[in-house]
Amino acid sequence: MTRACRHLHLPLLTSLACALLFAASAGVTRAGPQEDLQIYQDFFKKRFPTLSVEDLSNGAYSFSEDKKKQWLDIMEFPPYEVAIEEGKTLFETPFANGKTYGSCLDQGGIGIAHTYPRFDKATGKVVALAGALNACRAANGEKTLSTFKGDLANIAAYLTSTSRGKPITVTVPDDPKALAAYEDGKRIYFTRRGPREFACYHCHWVAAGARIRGNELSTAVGQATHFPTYRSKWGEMGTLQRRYKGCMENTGAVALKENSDGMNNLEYFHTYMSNGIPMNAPGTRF
Amino acid sequence: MRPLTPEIKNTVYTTTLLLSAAGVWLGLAGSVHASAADNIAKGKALTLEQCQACHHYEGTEQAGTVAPPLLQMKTRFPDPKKLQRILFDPTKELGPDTMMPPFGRNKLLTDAEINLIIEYLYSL
Amino acid sequence: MRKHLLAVAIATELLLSSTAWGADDAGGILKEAKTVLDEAVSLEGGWTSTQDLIKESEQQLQSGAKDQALKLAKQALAEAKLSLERARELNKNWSVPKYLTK
Repeated sequence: MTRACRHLHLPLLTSLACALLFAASAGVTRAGPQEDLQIYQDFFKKRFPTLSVEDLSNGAYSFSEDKKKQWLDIMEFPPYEVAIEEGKTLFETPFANGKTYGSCLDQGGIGIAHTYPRFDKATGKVVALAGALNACRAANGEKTLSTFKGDLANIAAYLTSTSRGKPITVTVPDDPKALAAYEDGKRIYFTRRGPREFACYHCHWVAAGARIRGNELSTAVGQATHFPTYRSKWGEMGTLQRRYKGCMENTGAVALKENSDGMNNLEYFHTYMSNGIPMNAPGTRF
Repeated sequence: MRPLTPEIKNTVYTTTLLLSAAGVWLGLAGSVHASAADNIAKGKALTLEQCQACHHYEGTEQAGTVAPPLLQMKTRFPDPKKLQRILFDPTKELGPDTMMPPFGRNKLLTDAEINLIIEYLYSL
Repeated sequence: MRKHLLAVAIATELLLSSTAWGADDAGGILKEAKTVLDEAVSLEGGWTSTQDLIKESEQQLQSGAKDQALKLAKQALAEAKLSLERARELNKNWSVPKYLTK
């Protein structure tokens, strides 16, 4: 509908009226991804003018000196180093048919993690990094694995390590299905669910920096840059979708299924809002 | 509704925890004829379960800061019906974006429990 | 008065649960609860507490505690229905908060 407005080339007043009309109807997305990005990143620039985008990618530690110090201590010997090594070995080990994961990915998989999730024109769907690895396994006759943890999370740790420092570059190509996937992720992000009726947005915008019990809440922009992450609570690596599951269950909502269209679209929308922020993965959280 | 000393408050809190462990039903059935002090203790235990994750108020330890502190509640909300309505469905009273859960509407708390919480908040 | 009502309620429940019909009923209600919960989950609006109630009720049913199983099954069904009703409403009425629109 918004796009209909834009493509009509109406005189200024009429297009303004058109924009207002669509803005007024609840649930209808008025802004395209690029306009959203501007609004989302400006929100935190205004709210936390002293925090850099890199600070945002450090999550809740930017709001507690004490916890930041503990975290930096842990980072002297990051617990994800083992996962990167294991992931590299797994990544380079050929499948039974002799092919490798690298054969399924651009640039053999090196230095591309910061461009995921991606919209796949062939299927018309969004793929996250662990999902792409799983699809590669399936295409080569291997059994699929968990996209939350284990081997695929370790391989993702290795692949993201080859993208560390590169700005997150998620693209929404000019394809109605790509835009629909982005909008679906946005809908999931802003829809309340569970007995307490929390939406993702409730905790990570106006409430960012404040605490739920003793835990500071991180900013929505920057969160996606440090996954997969080694969480002390897990005692291993986990992907962003594993974190979403924990987040949803914490609020009493039944989580969306791993690697489902909904989860992938949510990750697409949520990672897009961190565009331009250097990839800071794999990460560590305690 | 005499103010309680910290020692009594502690005892009351411990007792309430024991009572809750014995079963919410027992606690509620008893509440009809219970004294104001008992109600306040029960209300406090309920707030520690349901409110302190987000709100700070007297007697909390690891309280959250995402929501306003619960201070001067009787002065700020002289009409208990307003608090009842907020606890039942805050989107109606506080606006559609509110983060506060609809405790009554989604049956996270019974009407009786909501009243016990209000009684406790008024005692602060 | 309260005590009388309570006694009647307990007697009724005992009577119901002591018959085969009462036990079947718990199973039937559980089945319905699961169907309604599945629908709520498919609308991305299921509650984990309903899953817990269903699991507890099944455990009670297995261990032969039929009254308890029936009570939990009824709770599960009521909650599943509430979650489904809420999911429909919330999916229809989601919106981006004002501070995140121009």
